[in-house]
Amino acid sequence: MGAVTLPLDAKESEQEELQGLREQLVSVDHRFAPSILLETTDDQIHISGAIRTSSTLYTLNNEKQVEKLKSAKQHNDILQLHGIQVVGSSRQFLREYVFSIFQTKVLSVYRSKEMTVWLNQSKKKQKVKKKTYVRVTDPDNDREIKRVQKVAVRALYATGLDYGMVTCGVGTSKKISIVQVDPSPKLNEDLERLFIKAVSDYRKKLRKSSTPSKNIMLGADPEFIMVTPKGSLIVASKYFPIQGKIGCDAAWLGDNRSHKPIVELRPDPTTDPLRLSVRVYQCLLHAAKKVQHVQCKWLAGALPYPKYPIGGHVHFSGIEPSFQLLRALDNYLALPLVVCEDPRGKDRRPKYGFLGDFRMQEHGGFEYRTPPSWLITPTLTKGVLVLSKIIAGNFEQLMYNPLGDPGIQKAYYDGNKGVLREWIPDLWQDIKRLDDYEAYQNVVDEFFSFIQQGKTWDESLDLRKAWRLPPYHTKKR
Amino acid sequence: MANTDRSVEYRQIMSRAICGKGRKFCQVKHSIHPPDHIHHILGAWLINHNYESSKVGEAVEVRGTYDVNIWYSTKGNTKTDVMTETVHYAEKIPLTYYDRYTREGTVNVSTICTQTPNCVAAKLSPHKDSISIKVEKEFVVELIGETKVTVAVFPHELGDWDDKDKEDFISEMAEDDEDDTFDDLDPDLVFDDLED
Repeated sequence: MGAVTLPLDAKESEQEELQGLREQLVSVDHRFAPSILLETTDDQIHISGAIRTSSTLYTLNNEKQVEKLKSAKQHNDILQLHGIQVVGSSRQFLREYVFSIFQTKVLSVYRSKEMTVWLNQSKKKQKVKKKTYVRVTDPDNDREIKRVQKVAVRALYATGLDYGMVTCGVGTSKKISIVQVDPSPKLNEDLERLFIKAVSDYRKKLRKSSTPSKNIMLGADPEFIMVTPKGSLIVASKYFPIQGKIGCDAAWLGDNRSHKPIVELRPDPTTDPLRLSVRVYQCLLHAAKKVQHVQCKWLAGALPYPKYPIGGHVHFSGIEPSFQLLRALDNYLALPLVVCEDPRGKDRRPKYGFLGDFRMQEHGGFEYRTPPSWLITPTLTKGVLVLSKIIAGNFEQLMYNPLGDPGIQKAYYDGNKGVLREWIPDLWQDIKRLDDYEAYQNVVDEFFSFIQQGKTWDESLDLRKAWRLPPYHTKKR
Repeated sequence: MANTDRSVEYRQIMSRAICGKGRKFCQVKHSIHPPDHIHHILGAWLINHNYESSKVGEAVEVRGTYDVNIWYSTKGNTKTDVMTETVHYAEKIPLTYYDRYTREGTVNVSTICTQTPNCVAAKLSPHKDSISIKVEKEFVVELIGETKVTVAVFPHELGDWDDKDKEDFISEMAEDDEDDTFDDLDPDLVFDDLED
């Protein structure tokens, strides 16, 4: 079964629509279509006068990607590039999970029957035994499932697909590996219904106009660390509470889990990215007052101190994290940041800073976790927050997806600035086309010209200098 | 200022509460002396798990036993048999959260074994003089003890508050909180002309 083309409009009643979809999407042997193209008329492309050229919105499971995954080697290479463990030569797991996933939504979870007895299976004669799987009805209450599920969604995203079935294994020491990402899985009746419903919901959402960007709330929790003049890490929790506007990240130092070294700023969210930048500054100022008596340097960036990677997560609410939005954030925000990062920062990836890293939040929104801590300078801070807002409000109109190419992905993970920099002019130009650009022109241009000039930040410098925070506030005003 | 002047009065109440929490996943190796004439290990199964836990300093110690059953073959795979050995263990579970203000002597420990001991690998040494098995288990512990909780009590009847503007009250409190050092740094003014 090849790609299936569907009209964007469904004129029938819901039940007829679902029945129709089943006929088109599920083959006789119960396999789901490997890719779906949603047909649009010109009217639909020109929604509200803007041109939606972003074809990825209308393609589910790009055919090229599906083709690539047919080769086991390419399948594994892609996943490994993104830092995801794949199954080795022996497929021996304690438990296996099968997730049906549509973009960021997990539709169902099946778990293999647990083996409580260890049985010797000599490697020569080993046959792949057919496993029995049981559906898990309350996956949200299971700690292990939550962990494995994140890896499964990440694997699906890494393969460039939009939906599919991901099989994961949990081995000894809780090690998670991906067995397979299948774009065209064989389904039972329940799963057929779930996948069809997901496609129908997606189509409905596309027909509706997108969230106006003024309704998107933006928040952030950028981090920094403090080091002594001799360069050792300071326990931040001595000076700041764990919770609070200026708090500490959960990571701990040494054996005592109450020693928290990473300071985290938690400015109140707002719809205005510039207002948010000011709030970040206020938090920094407040923090500067609190530790003014301590001899130290404040460091931001990606990996200013070995083994303590730090991040600059951006929080969104009022908008759902579709794969297209995450891809837009990767291309238009994470990619430029790698061009100007301190070369030392590349070691943060792929454990952290991998593409499409997001986490759902209790407030109903989500947090985009790929960027490093951009507290380095005010220009970067403003640039990142403003771009986040612009991208979230307009991702349907953005044209480029350089990170769809494995070569560019590799350059991203390796920190190969030369390859990535070639894309900056196009990305910048594309942002300039948007209506929201005008309001933030200065900030966006400053951000991109900083990157275009080939400058990189130095994450061993005290960030308070750039922000003119005490004790550096009186110099050259 | 007299105590009675305060609009909000604070009281300390005694309460039983979760005063500590911890979780530990453990992977251990046991070395077991094999029976004579062992040829091959066919399987391993852990049963009869029993444990007790107690608070030790700022951690919880879990002590327990389980029986290791090893199914093996002898005489060139012509006969099989099962051997059993009881293994004792003690695990220290560090607490990720611990409230030092808990009243000593009132603490109870509640331990849940979230993964019962499970054998994940078994191997016979080349000289057939020892069997090494790998076991995984996981515990979640909670300390429950008496602690003082400070609560705000409203001396007036709640009805009195209804017609007051609550927002004013909150914003007044917020203003009090402001720190007035570095007055010359007004975020709104400074921020715009920050350059790198």
